[in-house]
Amino acid sequence: MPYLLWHYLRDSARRYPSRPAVAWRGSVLTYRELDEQSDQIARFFISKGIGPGARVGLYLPKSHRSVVAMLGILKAGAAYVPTDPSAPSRRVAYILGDCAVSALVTTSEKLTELTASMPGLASLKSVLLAGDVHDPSVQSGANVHHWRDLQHLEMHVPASAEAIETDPAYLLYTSGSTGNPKGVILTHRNALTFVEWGAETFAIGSDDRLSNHAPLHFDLSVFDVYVALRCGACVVIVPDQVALFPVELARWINVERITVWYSVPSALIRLLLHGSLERFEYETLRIVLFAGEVFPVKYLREVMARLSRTEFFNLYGPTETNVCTFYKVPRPLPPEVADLSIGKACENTEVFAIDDGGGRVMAGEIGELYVRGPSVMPGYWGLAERSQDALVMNALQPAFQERAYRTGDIVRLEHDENYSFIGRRDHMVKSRGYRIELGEIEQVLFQHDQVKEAVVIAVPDDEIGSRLKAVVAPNADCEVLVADLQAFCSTRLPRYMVPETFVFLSELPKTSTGKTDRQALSKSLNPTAPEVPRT
Amino acid sequence: MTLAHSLATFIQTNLIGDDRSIRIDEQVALIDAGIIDSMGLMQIVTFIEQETGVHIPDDEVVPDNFQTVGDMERMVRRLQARSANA
Repeated sequence: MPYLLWHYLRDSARRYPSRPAVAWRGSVLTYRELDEQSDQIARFFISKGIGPGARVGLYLPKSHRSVVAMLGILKAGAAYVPTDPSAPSRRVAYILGDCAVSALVTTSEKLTELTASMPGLASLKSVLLAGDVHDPSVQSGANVHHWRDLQHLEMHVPASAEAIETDPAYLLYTSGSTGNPKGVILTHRNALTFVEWGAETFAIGSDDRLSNHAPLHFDLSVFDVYVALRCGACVVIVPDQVALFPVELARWINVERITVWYSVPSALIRLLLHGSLERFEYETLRIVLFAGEVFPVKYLREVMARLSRTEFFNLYGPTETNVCTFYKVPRPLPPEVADLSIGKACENTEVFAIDDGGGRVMAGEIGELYVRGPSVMPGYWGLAERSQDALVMNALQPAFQERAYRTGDIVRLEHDENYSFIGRRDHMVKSRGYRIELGEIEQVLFQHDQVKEAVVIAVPDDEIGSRLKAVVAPNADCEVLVADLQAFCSTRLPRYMVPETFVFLSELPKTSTGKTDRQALSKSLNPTAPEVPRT
Repeated sequence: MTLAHSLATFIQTNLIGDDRSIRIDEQVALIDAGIIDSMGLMQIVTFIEQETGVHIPDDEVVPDNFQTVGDMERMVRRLQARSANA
């Protein structure tokens, strides 16, 4: 039985050596090639003393080589840390420093960007450049190596190192309310639990072609890559240039004969509204999966009408738990359905909701959703206290100590035993499927010299979930320019966290206890916003 | 200020920020360099439409029209000429 993620590759390479494993633009790697090339990466890292207990960062545009690198790092027994290639370098530097990576896979261009923000680069055991172009301007430090030189490595170095299933496989950083992103640790077992469920539930076979639309630092891509490897299927990476242009993306799905599509709803809405979907048949597309945010039903109906032979599933789960519930969208979708259910628990996972009194909610009641099972993370990297707050003792199991993940999501248990998402109990919002802690953006704004007070409000939006609006009170006698604040945020936050609009007030409204009155601000800026019921 | 100039300023401020060495001019290949992501593209389309009053149809939102600031300006001129002739 496979108990490490890369065992899927080993097994599929034996069964399907010449079938395609990864496709990106014109390049296709067969299972044998993917296995051999990731062996080379593993040998390289092992020869540099990187193995179990170590982390290796990834900071490069997505390509087939990203997948080779991920598997090579896993084979070496280490965990990989994928970062957003479009995020500002100082944020990436924070992440790589926070989890103390021993090595980095990047490109010469990204390395140049990172050098100024990350003084610790030179002390890494290795920096592996994955680009084809050899840029002579890159400082050729003793620890810098080139991908194409790896084939000369000696073969006597082993191509894998022992790890166990509860070891970290990868760390995914998400927005943190205290001003810095936090690293969610996912073990091999966490991912395997999810992958096994996905492969069985959607009956993935070696003829399937799974799209990979989500970035690799986003947990949706775990499904695309590892369910494909588990089943001998092909993961087809959407080229960044194609993903940008909806009309190109629609053509790509058709031409690449994708059978399973998985993305955030906002990507599908964008295809619907701007992709001229009606031009193609998408004959092979049997399943569309979506996750990460609420799919407004009016758009879902339209997408389902365009893709009339495809089955649709709503997947739900924070990064900390992998997907933990799912819902098959009925076809036809009854006209009275206004909000889509998040469904029932996945196999080998239990979910339950707890009300304010600490009791388990009954049908028709509202409470906070908890998740227990082998897909739940062991904790946040280096944040013992935060981990304890999130992974709480399961009050429903008094006989022995067991932890459950407290999602912060308020749900209703419906009479048909499905759960419905109602809202959040904190200031986390979703935009384009990304989790955003409003507090993290506010912390960045506070760092600006001329800002006295700042609050960020999420204005609900059908197409992308929410749009961010910053309300700023400048220091006395200061004139702050919107462009300055935008540029300031752009160098410290990923694009999806930079507020779209800025509003200036001389003073922010306060509650009776002296806190900034978010509700009053939300109401005055967005009078139609529905109120989230309290539990 | 020409459209190309104001676009370059817009992209510099909104999509790049202040810590990169790159300067946007008419020739910089914005897509190949990874400067434009999907969010940025939507912002650019909205910006052009607001600045020029020209509606950009979905089938014009293709790589050839958005690779450089110069490409965007040429597209706008073409669309303006088309609506003038219509």
